[in-house]
Amino acid sequence: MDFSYTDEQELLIESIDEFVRRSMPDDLITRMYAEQSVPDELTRAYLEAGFALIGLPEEYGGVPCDRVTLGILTERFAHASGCLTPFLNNVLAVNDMIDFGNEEQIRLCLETYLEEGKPLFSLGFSEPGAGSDNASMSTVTRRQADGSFLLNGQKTWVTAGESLPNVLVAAKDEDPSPDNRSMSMWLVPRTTAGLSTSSLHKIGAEIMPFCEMFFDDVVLTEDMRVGVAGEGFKNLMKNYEMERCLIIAQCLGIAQAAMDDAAAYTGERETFGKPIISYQLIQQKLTDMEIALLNTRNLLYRTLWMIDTGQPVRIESALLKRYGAQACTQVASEALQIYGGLGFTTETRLGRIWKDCRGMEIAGGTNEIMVHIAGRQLARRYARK
Amino acid sequence: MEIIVALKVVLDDQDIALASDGSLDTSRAHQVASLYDLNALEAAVQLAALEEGSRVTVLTVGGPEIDDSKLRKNILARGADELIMLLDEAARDWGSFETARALAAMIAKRGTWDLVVCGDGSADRFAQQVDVQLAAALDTLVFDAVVAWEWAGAQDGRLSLKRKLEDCEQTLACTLPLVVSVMPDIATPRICGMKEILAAGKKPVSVLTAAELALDLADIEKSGGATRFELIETRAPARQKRAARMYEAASSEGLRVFCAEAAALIG
Amino acid sequence: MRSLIFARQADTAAELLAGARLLGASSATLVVIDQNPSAPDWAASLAAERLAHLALPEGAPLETALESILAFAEGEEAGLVLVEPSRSLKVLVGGLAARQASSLFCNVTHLRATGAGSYEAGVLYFGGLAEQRLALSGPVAFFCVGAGVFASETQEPVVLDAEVRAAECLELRWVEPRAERRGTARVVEERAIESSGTDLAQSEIVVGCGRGFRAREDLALATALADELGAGLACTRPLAETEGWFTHEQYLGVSGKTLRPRVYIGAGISGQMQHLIGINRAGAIIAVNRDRDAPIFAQCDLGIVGDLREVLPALSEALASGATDRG
Repeated sequence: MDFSYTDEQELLIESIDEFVRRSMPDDLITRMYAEQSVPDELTRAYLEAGFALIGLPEEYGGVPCDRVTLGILTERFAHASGCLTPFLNNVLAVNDMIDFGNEEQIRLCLETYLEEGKPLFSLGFSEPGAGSDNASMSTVTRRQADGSFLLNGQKTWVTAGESLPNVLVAAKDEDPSPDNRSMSMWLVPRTTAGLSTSSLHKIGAEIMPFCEMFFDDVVLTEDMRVGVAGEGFKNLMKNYEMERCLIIAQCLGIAQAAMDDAAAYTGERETFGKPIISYQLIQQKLTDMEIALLNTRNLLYRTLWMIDTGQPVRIESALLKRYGAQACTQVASEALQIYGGLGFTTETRLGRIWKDCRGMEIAGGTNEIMVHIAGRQLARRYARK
Repeated sequence: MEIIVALKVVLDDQDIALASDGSLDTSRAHQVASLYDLNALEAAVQLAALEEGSRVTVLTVGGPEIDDSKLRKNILARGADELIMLLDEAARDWGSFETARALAAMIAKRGTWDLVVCGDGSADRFAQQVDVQLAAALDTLVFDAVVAWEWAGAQDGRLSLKRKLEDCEQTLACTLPLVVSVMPDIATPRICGMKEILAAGKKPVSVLTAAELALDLADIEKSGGATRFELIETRAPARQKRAARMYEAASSEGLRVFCAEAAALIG
Repeated sequence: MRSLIFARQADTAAELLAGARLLGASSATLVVIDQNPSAPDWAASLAAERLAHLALPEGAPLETALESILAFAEGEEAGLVLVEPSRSLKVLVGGLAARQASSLFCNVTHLRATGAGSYEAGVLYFGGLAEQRLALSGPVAFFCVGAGVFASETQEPVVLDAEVRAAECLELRWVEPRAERRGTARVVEERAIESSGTDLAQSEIVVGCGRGFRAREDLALATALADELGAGLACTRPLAETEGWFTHEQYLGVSGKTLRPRVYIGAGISGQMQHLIGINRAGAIIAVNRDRDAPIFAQCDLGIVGDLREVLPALSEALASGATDRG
């Protein structure tokens, strides 16, 4: 087993560190969370430094790379900056379009992405009554006599739904009942008549705001359909496993940043005339935090390596998501605890990191859903022969 | 335009530890491209982009330990077309005189050239003399402190240099070939993109020894004999012990006492 | 042993001349190169046995004067060549050294003769992280030496021997660069950089500004403090080279000036070695910085953790009221 980075991965890490040093000072990060947006200059700088192209196919101007390297990019970026960013979501969205869209849709999407570093659309998949349980989705399109379709329903937790110009909506074909597995994806301009949004107020990860989206007799035409009619459900499921890995890579990065801060602080902060690292209670915290980080990291890169080597990771990605999100939240929480009262203020970034990690116990599939995914599969895997 | 960049590989000073006796522990220090030489490389690559068919070749001279696959890729991911290294045990302790002779021999072996670009000074000794010595060996004019340049095109063949000297800003109209050293402000080193990093491994690298260059080291030593130098020791300078009385402006009392003590020191 | 001194200004020339004596030179020849038709008055009043002057023709960069000084310099048969750390002179004299199969040793922190034609020199290593001691020997040695180096050898300002005076000034003839030497250069424009007006080397108190000054407007706080104290105003490299808020002559550190004021007040200066090397011989160092981990606090006499926008006005005010109290 080889745990070392390649030359290329090490150089990538150096580039990330340099980018963050130059373009993401602490006060900018604070401002991005307060204003709930990433300035266009930063998005463009990210694009110009070439990071935005990593993981896209070569024929579209991208730089294809293995999943392990994609994980390293994601973890290191979060570690160096100590914050979440929408850049990862952007490239995932573009990849969705490349996987499912027609040539014209792909061209349009990439044109915008390679120009601005932003995807053309947000993703409208989840519904108030249907998160990971996509079959319960009730948003529906119904074909009209003139060949057009009427879209009705509601989406929620649409990340960047109020800032990106389009939304990629998943909707049942004709019949909203759970039995109907026929589903399609549609690229709908945000300004289309009948589409409205309502802001939601997050308690963390404010840098990536999300919103609710309502569709009231929104008229769709066939050319707005993305992918094959009826196959939307299959499409939806396709990228979940990679998404789970990259969510945890982000979590791991910011939790590591919290560890960096807290571990250094234990040598600086004194109580009763001694640095707090001299107390075993603090030593134990650091020890357990490091174990949690290492476990998450090992699980993350092993899962990514399995994807790279063509192995199924349905179970592993769920185990990683469940374990990693909780472990990272715990690391952030203990880092905050080490800082004591100071940790509970906005003077440090630990509160922010803790909230960001905590959100990841829900986003991309809750801790509980991960049990639902892995549990039955595990029983099958361990069944007596 | 054929542009040569002379780049020094040095220890990363962030990894150099100071022992309590003032000696230096370099055992954990990686070999890296000297910081200001990366500005020179970036400036050269940007200049080359103005003239179709231009090439940027990086030359470096040092002990065998400076050869490192990651370092090679790091240099080549920054827009250089080729890397030529002279690796020799003897080169480890060379001063600017010997280094420049070796660089001149490498340039002669390589073929035609128009411009040699050096950094403002190397991170270790910062003597700012390799450019000067190299120009003497190549029998060319040399100018330092270049902060900007303008290339009027191959037909014109003139390179306009803007220099920042101690008391004036000077603009020179030059014809090539020429040796220049550039100040860091001339160009900010790029952040290597993944595409360039991946491509770097496929670019040509050649490694030479002094023997292959027909570089007679004994001759260099002899001709360099006008001033011989030997390193006696390297150590951190003894620091004057200072009181370091610290106050916090967060407390108004701290600020008041600080001001009073400052006034006393100032007298 | 004869010596050759290359300098552009009276104070540096005087110090190099005195330094040459310390190193055992029996005579010194001062070479001044400028655009004036004759040697400047200050040069004639210095303690050199000989004075040589070269007038550059219009448009000729100083660096192209090698051919003009070569015959003269080699004819001097000097065993020691000292040059002040100016960009152009380092190139010119470096070229002269190369012609004699030697090289110019720069960033010299101390220098002493250990015998005839042999020296021990300290040179900066990694911007002052360490110092390398070198033993040098040969028929001729070239050193680039900054202000204060010889003074620190004697532990007191170097005193000039007033008795020696150049009898005459030798005017050197301009020689065009050899045709076979490749590349040409002509000065097409020269714009003087405005001087800050204060001579930092003479300032008893110096206020230094660092990266902690985020906006140019904030510099008024440092100016106000310097005015109150009659202090010189200086800066770190980025503020002169990158921001352009100060002139080059105001920048202290490895490639800038080295000072030894009685009191140095560093405001918003983190204390990188490259800067500290320029001030660490100050009598007292006072530091103001927001970051309690700033390295300068480990090397100051008095320090305060706080925003310079709060501390500097308070300090100015305290000093002003103190001055009033004393009447």
